[in-house]
Amino acid sequence: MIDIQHLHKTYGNAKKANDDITLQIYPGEIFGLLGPNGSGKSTLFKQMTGIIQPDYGDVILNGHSIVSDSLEAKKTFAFVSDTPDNFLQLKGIEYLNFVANIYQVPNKEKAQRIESTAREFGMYDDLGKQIASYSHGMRQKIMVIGALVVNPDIWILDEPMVGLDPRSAFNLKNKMREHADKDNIVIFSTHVLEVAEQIVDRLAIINKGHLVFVGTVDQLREMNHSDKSLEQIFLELTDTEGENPLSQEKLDAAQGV
Amino acid sequence: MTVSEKLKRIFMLARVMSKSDSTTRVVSSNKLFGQPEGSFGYKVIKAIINVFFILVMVGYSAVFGFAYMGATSDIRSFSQLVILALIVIVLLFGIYNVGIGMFYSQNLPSYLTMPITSTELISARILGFLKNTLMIGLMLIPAYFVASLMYGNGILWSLALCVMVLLSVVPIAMIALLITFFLIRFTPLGNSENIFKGVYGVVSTVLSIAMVYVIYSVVYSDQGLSSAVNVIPEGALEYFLAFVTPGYFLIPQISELATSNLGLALVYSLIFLVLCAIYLAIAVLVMRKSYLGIVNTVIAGGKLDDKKPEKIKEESSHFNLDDELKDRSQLASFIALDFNRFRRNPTLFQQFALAPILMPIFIMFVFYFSSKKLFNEELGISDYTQMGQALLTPEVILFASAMIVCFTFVIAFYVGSLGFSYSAFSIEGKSFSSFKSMPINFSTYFTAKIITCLILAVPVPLIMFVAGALYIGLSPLHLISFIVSFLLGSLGGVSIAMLFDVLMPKLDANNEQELRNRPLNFIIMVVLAGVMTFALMALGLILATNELPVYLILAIVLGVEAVLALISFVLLITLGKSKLLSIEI
Ligand SMILES: Nc1ncnc2c1ncn2[C@@H]1O[C@H](COP(=O)(O)OP(=O)(O)O)[C@@H](O)[C@H]1O
Ligand SMILES: [Mg+2]
Repeated sequence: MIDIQHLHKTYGNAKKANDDITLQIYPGEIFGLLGPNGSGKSTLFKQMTGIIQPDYGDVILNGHSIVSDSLEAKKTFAFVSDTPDNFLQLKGIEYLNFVANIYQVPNKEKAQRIESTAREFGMYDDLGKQIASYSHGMRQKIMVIGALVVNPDIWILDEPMVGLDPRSAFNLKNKMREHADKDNIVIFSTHVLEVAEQIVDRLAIINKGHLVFVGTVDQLREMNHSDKSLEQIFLELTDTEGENPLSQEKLDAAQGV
Repeated sequence: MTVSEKLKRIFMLARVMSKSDSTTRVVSSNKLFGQPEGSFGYKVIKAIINVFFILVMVGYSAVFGFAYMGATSDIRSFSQLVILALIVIVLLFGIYNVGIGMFYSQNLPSYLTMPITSTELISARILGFLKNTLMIGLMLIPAYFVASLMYGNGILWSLALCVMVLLSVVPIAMIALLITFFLIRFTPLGNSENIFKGVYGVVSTVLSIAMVYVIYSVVYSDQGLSSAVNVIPEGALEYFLAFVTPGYFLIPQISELATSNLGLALVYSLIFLVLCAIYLAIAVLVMRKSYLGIVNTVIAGGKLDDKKPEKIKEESSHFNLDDELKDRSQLASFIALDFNRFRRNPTLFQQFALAPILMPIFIMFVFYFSSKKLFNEELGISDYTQMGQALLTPEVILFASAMIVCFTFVIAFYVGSLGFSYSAFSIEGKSFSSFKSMPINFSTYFTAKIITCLILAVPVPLIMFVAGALYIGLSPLHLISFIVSFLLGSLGGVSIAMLFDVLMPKLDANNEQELRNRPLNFIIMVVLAGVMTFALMALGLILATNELPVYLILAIVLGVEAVLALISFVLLITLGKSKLLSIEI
């Protein structure tokens, strides 16, 4: 389980990127985090994964605090960030080998997982090339493959579909479902509503660092008059002019699922 | 468009280029003595630190000029020395930036889609390049200013001469740039960034060794530098040289004439400035025509010989899954990661791994030429051995033991701190954010880095020193102390250099050059090594003048060195680790 407790984060002296975010995610769930550009999705993920320190608050991953017990906490998840331009000097295969060794994936499983996952994503023949020579989508794929090869309980994916071709996106969605169905957790962010609608069990909508909704897609519809399209609801909730968070009761109701 | 509007555009472009090359956002939650970044206190402390380091740098430089002029009062040879140094800097560090920036920069495609002429692009690049080179050259300026004043030139002339000394890199830089341009344009070198970098690395290394050799041989020749070029020399070769490096020939004359014949000094200055301008203009004119075409083909991945890039790709992309998948511990994984980087990127290797190998060679040059000058004849290896044995009487050994062992430590500290260690952390760049989300034990990480640095920095110099020691016939006791001292010095230097890299990282570097050019880290290491030298030499001297048994002296010295090395290592692990956790990228 992931327990996000009152996260606050401000960059420099600017406005708050995350403002008191509290959220629980349970085993078996695919959880979607939706929000417009700059709403604080990546900031939330970076705090959950130990890349940046929260100003206040904590995240407990399968019982381990990312702040005070970070090494153990980090063993519980794999993270795919929204900028795949990492480790450019390495060949794809070297990157996968490196990641697998860091998470101490046993050798027998390593070869088998790398080969099958890379083939599924159509990357096997490119593994011998330097990541620097990959296109954006290929870089995204190699990072995703890295996470799948490590295969810990929790997957945290920041905009994983961006740049993926339709077949790979389809593959990834299936993998996410399979993983969650084994009583694991997948949490991912997106600003594409259709993706969310297709696969999430629950979702949260974040706007300007505030959570404005937490619940299922159906609850989102119900609460906002089912005659509106999901797009309309999303646009209203994330209206950039008026601050428009839902009332606290509605949020509490949604949380108590 | 008027000329001034055009110039404005070029300057703006140059500014954007130099800024847009760094794109990583590093959120620093840096603190200085408890003051958070951005606060007034932080700025004040930062300013004080900066001023301190500038003062130290200016001080070092000025003392150098003062000492040189005090000893020889020969402004002519000093001018030539400074200009030679600048030229070496340009050849070693500058060209790479332009070559890569001009033809392989990631931002190039964006500029190509904008309504910018190739003249503007080239001019902006050259401006940026000159700015970078001149910034490095500024280190030498206080020395020259002091020397010029001591020679008797007025303040105004001294300032003007300093400017001209800086400008003297322009012709050399433009020639090197044109050669680079032709290489990329007309040879297969241009086909691949990696091949270009690799060949560039080899050429500039050979060039730098040759340069240093030439400089030393001239400096230590019987007549010294001043005789090498007395007047603007006769003969075709000399005229050619005078044209290629006008600064080297004209500025010494101007320096001398400024006190005696003002008119002629002014005429020479004018000639010099015109020559610089001509070189700039030629470079822009020559490259303007074909620049965009070349860039287009480079971006498309191949040109001239279209088959070659394909072939390279095919060869390098072949792999065997079982060979590639090695089970490694975290420690070994990090070491392998860096060595993969070195294998992939020849420039990286040239910039960071080659220095420890070159430095002993340079030191050997000094010994060779200075002893040659001392004895005024060619010396064979056997002469050195005899010399060594003659010096190594029991009393001398007793006296020298402590000194030599201390000296070894300092040399090793120096070599270790100026190699890969200097940017061992910054090399992670943006990838460091991935590390932070992985279950990585940062003590293991640091240990791995130190092992990598030691593998790069220790073997070659150590073998060379040991070989030298064996020739002289050092006793086993001394030889062992020597080796231990070398290892301890290396450990200390590597740890401290890496600590400063972690404390002041450069994670947004775009190329190897930016990882190499880090004046603040460099100065800190030089100052530290200087302090270390004084302290250890003083210790050695005190021990040597007390009548203690040799083994006791050695034990004390090695003990002190071990403590120093250990402190460095522990500082890195503790301070470095807590800093790592606060770096947000
Ligand atoms: N490194 C940073 N430094 C300063 N501000 C940042 C940094 N990263 C993000 N921000 C700001 O924080 C806010 C949230 O950004 P982010 O979490 O990246 O949004 P999202 O991922 O939802 O698009 C934005 O206003 C962004 O400008
Ligand atoms: Mg984002």
